Amino acid sequence: MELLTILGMAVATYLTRISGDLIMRRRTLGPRTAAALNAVPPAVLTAVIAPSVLAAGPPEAIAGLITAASAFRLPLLVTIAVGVGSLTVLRALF
Amino acid sequence: MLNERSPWRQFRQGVIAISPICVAAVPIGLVWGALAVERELSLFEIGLMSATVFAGASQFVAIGLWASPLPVAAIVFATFLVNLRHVMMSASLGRRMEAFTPAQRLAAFYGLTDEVWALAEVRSLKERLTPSYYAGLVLPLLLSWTSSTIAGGAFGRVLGNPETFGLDFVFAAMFIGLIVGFRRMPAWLPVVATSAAVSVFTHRLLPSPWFVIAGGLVAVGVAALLAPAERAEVKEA
Repeated sequence: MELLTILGMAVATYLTRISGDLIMRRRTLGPRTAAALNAVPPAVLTAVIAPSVLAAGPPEAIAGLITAASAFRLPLLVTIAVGVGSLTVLRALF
Repeated sequence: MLNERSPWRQFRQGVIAISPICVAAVPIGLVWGALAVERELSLFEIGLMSATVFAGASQFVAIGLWASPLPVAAIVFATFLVNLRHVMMSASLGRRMEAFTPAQRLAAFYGLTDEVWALAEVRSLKERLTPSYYAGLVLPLLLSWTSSTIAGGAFGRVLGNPETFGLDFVFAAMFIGLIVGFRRMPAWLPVVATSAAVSVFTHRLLPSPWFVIAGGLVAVGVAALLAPAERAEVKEA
């Protein structure tokens, strides 16, 4: 049963990963559909992390704002370091 | 210049891009492996699940449901729900895979984790996404995730909490950086603000995977509403 469960999980995951492409393939997109798809990256990325950044407590929320501010100016790796560093400091303070 | 396009160089650029995520995945993989061993999964089953499912969030949910007798259907359905967000990711990223053969596409979507997807989308803003670059994203993360979960299963709970060093925030920080990287997109601010608000609100009301789906869908709907209906799309090549 363990192996069957793992196999089922693998198939279910792969289906979610391939189906968006299969649904959209070979469609001519209207401007609204195209705008919606173009918005998927920032929309879904934000939805994934918003609760753990904004609703987890003051250290996470403040570190999130610091990270966002530095992302406007700094490269991605530096931004990550700033985010992790500022959260470590803030957790020690709160 | 010819060298710029060589597959090996593309692959290496992918490896460099994913490397901070590979490091951050290690403590999470160790914790998951330790939890899985407590639920009596064997090291073989741990490695097999990490290599074939390759989706951290749904693996944590599955281990939470793991019991004897095994609720097979509930675990498979929960996995499907937690991973529903990938439908949106795959619909969006599929349009950036012109350089992939059909077989390469089928293989590529197997490796579509949140982090791989986000880095591939960002890459496609700057240049054509190639199979080599994409493989450079997927393979190191697959190796790092699978081996760290097996190690977590083997060494158990000796390793403490990943929150101690703020490592749990690496993913959030990277995602924030990537979100800001999309800021020149039309209607970026309304999309991000809507997604954040709906996600936080749904997170309070409903069990775990729904906040991602609700936040993503409502924000994508806002983008569609704000799009000028008569003009051609802005970002499509």
